[in-house]
Amino acid sequence: MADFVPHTEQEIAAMLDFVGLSSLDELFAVVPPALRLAGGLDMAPGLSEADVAVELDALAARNRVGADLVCFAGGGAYDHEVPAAVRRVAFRSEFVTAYTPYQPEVAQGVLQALFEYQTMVARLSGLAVANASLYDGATALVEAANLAAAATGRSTLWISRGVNPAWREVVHTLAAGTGHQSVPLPLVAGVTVLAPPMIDGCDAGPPAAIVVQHPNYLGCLEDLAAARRLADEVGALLVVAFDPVAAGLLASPGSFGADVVVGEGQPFGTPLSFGGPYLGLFACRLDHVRRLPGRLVGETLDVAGRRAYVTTLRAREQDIRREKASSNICTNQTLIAVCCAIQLAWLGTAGLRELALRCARATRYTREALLAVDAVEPLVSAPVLREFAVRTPVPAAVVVDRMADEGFLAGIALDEEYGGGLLVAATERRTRAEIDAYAAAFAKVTR
Amino acid sequence: MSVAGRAGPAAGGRADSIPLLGRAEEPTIFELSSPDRRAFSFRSTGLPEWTAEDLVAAEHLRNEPVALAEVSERDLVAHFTRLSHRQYSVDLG
Repeated sequence: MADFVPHTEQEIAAMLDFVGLSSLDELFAVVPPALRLAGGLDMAPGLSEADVAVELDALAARNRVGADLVCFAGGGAYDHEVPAAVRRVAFRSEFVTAYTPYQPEVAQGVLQALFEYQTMVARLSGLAVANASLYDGATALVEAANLAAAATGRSTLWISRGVNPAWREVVHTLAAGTGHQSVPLPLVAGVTVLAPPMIDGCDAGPPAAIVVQHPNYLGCLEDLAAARRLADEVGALLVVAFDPVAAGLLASPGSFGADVVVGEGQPFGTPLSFGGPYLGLFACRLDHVRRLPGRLVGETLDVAGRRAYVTTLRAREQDIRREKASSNICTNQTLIAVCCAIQLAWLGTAGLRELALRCARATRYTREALLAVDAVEPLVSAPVLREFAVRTPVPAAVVVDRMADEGFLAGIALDEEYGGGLLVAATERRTRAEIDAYAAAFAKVTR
Repeated sequence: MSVAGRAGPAAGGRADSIPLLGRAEEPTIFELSSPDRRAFSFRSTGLPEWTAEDLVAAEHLRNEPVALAEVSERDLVAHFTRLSHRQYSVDLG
């Protein structure tokens, strides 16, 4: 690529002359020879932008992407429409900046956008306060577990098997540091058994949190009222991983008494893009606000009495009081959160409901079309909304491979934990013609 | 060439040449909201138009829609563009 260092030879000579040196080698002579790279970096010479673009295009062409495969895969990341206005506005260079908005006098644009984002997430979740975002849904769940552990002085989580297995894996990974233990709550007929779990030979102690996903990984609707009752019985917090799109139709987790709500914000304004960067949604009850992880933007007045925005309650953040912080997150996904805010503003009150409804219609139509295929059966019997799982007459992984040759990303092959099967999602982007063609191809490859 | 009378190499411009902050507040997107105004549109799908009640059991449905902003696409673009004008960034200096 073009030289990043802009200085000309003449300018370098002038600067060396100013400090009284004759060469760059003399400038770096203060670095001991043992620490210096003998002979320089063993790297090929740089390429021009045009040459790099050709190489990257060739690499990218080895991926089969959305334009090649009609997407019926979900499992936490969904193929939603991103209107032109979202990326056009969000990708203005003032939003695409590495600068942290710690100087409110020159960061009112990002701070107000984040304040609006937080307001939207709080209203989606039905809770009082939302932070300025976390890395993704999975790490938001980890932070919810940390909050619950700090709030209760306990270290065990009862986590439904209906929670996205990739998210549970991240919780497990981070538990290597926190020492938190996870006890699974089983599924029966696709929904969580909301009763104290049987624990073989392990005294895990009472839980800090009951964790359920709604709709769950198999697309089934959970009984959040029963989850709240169980949390009350055992003195735990209720953590709900929600689907922010389905939230356009479903009663909010907050209305069922959830203490913490987390979610993946990718469906609003972020393409699938090979799994990231995504957006962690995090909201909680006001009484947990001093344990809220990450940045929080608040509204205030400036010295002239005008409304202004600042990061607030910063004593929560570990760069201020490391030893007392319950979270080590001091950053967020500002640009992705701005995309989310713009897309939610684009959808608005009626558009969010319409989006959720269109996804539910496409899901039902796809499910009925697949269940009409010979030997395809529902994996579970509970009502579904956002996606659904089916048993297939040939292994699901084989179906996925064969369907790729037919032009479809067929879904996600489920692990043995769920007894195999294929997880299928249909968003508002799927048309009747696409779904009919998908079902026809499904019949062909499973024959 | 010197900039603003300073001696030495050209500095490539100065961020303080931009009018970073306006004097008036920018309303929130919610304050720009007007009932039933809309920006969204969706793909034509040809799918059956089942209602929410057809698709979700009553005990799961929300009673009131989520209170988001109701703005036109013009309002939306202008609001976030004005916010961007109130923001310092790497590309400004």
